[in-house]
Amino acid sequence: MKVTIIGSGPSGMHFARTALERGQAVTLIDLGNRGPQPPLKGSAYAALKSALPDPVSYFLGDDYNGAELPAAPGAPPSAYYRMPPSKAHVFARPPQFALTEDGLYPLISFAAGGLAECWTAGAYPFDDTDLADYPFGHTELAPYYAEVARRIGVAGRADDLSGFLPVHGHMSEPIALNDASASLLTKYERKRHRLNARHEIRLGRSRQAALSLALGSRDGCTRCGRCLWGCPNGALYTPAQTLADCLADPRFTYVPGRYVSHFDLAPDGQIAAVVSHPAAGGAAERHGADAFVLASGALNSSAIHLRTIWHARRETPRLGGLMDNRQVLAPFYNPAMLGRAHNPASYQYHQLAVGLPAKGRGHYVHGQITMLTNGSVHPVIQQLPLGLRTSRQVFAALRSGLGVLNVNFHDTRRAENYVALDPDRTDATGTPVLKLRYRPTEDEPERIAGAMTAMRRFFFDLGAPLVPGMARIRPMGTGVHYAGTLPMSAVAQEHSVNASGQSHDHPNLWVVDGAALPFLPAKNLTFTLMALATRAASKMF
Amino acid sequence: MTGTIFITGGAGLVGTALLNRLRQSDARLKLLLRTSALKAPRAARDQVIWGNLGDPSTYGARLKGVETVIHLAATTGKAAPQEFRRINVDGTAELLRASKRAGVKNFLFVGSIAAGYTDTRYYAYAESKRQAEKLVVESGLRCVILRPTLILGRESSIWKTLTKIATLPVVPLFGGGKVLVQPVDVADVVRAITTILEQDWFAGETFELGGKDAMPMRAFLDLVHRSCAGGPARFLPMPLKPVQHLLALVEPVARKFLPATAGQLCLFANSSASGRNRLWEALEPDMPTTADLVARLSKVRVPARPQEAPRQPTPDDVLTREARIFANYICGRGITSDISDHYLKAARTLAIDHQPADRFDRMTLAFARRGVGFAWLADSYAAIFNRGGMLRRRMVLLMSILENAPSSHGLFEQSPSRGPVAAVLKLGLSGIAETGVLVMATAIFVPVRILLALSSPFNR
Repeated sequence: MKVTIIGSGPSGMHFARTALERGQAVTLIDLGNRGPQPPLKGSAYAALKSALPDPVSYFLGDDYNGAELPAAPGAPPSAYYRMPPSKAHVFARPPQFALTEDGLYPLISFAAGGLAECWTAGAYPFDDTDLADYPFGHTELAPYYAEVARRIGVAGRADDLSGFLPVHGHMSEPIALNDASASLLTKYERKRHRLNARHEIRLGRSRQAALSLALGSRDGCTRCGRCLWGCPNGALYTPAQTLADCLADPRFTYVPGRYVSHFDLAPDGQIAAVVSHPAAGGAAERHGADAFVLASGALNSSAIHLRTIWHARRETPRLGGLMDNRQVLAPFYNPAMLGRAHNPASYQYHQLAVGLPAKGRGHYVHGQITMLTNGSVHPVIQQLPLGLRTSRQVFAALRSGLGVLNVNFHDTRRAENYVALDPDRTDATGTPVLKLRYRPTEDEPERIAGAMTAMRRFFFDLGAPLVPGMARIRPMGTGVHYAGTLPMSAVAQEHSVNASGQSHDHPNLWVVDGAALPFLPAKNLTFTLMALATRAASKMF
Repeated sequence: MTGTIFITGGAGLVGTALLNRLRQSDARLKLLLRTSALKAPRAARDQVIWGNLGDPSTYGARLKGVETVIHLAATTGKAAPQEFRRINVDGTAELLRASKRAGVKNFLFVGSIAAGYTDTRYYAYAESKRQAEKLVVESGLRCVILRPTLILGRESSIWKTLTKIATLPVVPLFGGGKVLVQPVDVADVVRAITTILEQDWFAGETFELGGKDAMPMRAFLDLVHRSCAGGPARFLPMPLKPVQHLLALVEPVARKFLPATAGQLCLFANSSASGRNRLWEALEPDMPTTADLVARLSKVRVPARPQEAPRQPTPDDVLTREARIFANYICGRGITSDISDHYLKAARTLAIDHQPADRFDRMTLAFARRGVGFAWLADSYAAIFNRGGMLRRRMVLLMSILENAPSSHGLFEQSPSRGPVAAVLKLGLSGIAETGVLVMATAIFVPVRILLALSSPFNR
């Protein structure tokens, strides 16, 4: 069978790898933006600033976009994520792509490896509660979690969080905790009985797709502190690594530099061909196959699906059920670290997590704890209501104990949140552009307030209080876990797929990315996307 | 001389003179400088590497393609024994390892005559230089070791110290002053290095290098006294060993406050005359006598700089000066040219290089440019009442550059381990100072703002 996959993100790559392992030939069409290789592999974060020929340009960019200045009066707020210049390619959009946003401001990637080239490697399996709306439970998915963990290396431990985070096969030893995280975990362990008696929240090690020991051609984490700018050792997993593995397989054909517009449909509703354009512009090209796999991320996959309908029937339906995790960031301070030196030789991302169990179905709240290790400090220093000289000194004194709790909330599919084509706005080819519309639920403020009160009390009793008045509810879109627009459905209805991701609209189409999720738990979804894609390919071949 | 030369310690006495000489050749120069060497003279075509000798990740990659390493950097003076070891021994070991890894061909190590002293009790410096020499010889690189004696030059700290001691009404003389000294002109040390490079004398030899003539310490001090103060010196004989023991006893707690360490007094216990060797013989005919050298140094006067015609500062001048003041305010130090270049470019790229339209913004910016104290007052006010103003935007921009620039990034990564009590104390003091500045700033800027608003309500 000739299989063509669209998109090289986590879903596309694990579908491809599974198909290749089962002897299939695979073609992958992708825009495939690529960034620079991490420079000076052996240099740690601080050393990089001495060893690079021009570290200011590396860290701020030639356009100084990495400098976060206070907003001038009346100016619009700056972008909600300021990625380093070395990751600029992840969010670069081709000229063909345009978007109308209403209530949700997404990040979209056309990079080789997709958005997960910028992820923070949180790899949390869904449990039966999370999967209640899915046509299968955790037992069905468990072998695929184990398979993905074997491929990419997922670290974690059985601890107090195991009640929310199922322990799966091939879980490896996590990277050693940085000093600040170790201090926090020690506090928790010391007060564990009292905390567990008074609070529902549990604390434990994060699950990370990051290696403590070498795996294949990837090295274990050297704690060079460069996670954010691009791990130079390959310890932090990104789908581009799986793409590199696949490229070594002669049965894998990679077609980069193509912007996929839509599918041509055969009279019987089957997909006949993928229609794509060169990224730099030019005539359309058609790629035929027996089976087609949409894996370009929930929003892009939805756009391709909608443009297919528009080209076939000039209709602009709505795909309801758009979801994303609402995020709340709450800084905290661990006074046990006062007067202790900040250690830049640290793994940068979250090493601890907290879980607040469900009260009703699907209401588990997930939190990740990130200590302030390396990174641009001027955005933080300027926040203090003090002169910059004093702010710098205060920050230096408190830095080692500062951390951020990133609280994630679940989302459900609701008809009023949708993606569609915007009839009022067309792209260069005359096709309507993608339009998003999102409104939170009415009870959201109450849910957030309830969870944050529980978090505040827990962290206070833990001995690392949240900084009063500093918690920020982030705009919708910052979760970067877009899902739910072409969901799995046991009932064959339009704009949906079956339990294996096979489309109910087009029988030779499989949707294996976030679009197929019928419910979005609070946990980071990327690990599950990889497991679902692996499962879909396993069922298919 | 051609090829690429990597020089450590380029900001020191020998380094500065050597660079002036090498810049006249065709050699490409790479200078490893510590961030504290901000004022090191640099030519535009030099490649400057801000790094740390003990941390090869800061410079190892830049050794690629280097033909010769000239290792001048060392700690001297009253440093603690562990500092001598860390910089002079461990630092040299790291540099040697990195040089080998990078395929460097030649290694020239500038050691010290002290490495050959026989009595080095208390003298960790001499011991560190001896160990470093051993590492160089055993490195397997083509190498040469140069052991200068007392190096004299107008800017040499030893010359300044000697003149201070020798011009005292009564000159202390330890151990009778019978040991020999053979001071060498810094220009001759530079000639020695260039001769080694030109002749390719990297055969593992150790060259001691003194000046034209040797003389007893007492005669030398007398010579210095006569040149600087006129008339013969009056000496106060002091017993060497008891003084050394006494100094060694108090050094661990009072090193900083002592005029000299027990180790430094080894100069009075050992001969510092150099042996004859082919290098010295090649240079000797053109060397000054010690008497001529001392006479020249004692008569040097710094020529006054010619007056430059005043000119109107350009917008770039204003921004550069502003960057210097703001950097001094934010992190208490000056800036390198790469920082001011980035500041100019970034201000232009982000379109904040223009004069602000708002009068109050213009006024606070001009006020802050007057000096570090002014910058603190204006910023303290802006941090609360004018966060989006031009002053704050420019200062934050500069800070973003400072935290990434080779010469200043370390200041933003430091978070000293000083214990909770000291940390709280420090925070308290910072808070008190900031509050004081804010009160003053409010007293200045609130009335100004009101006056500006009253005088031109539509100005904004």
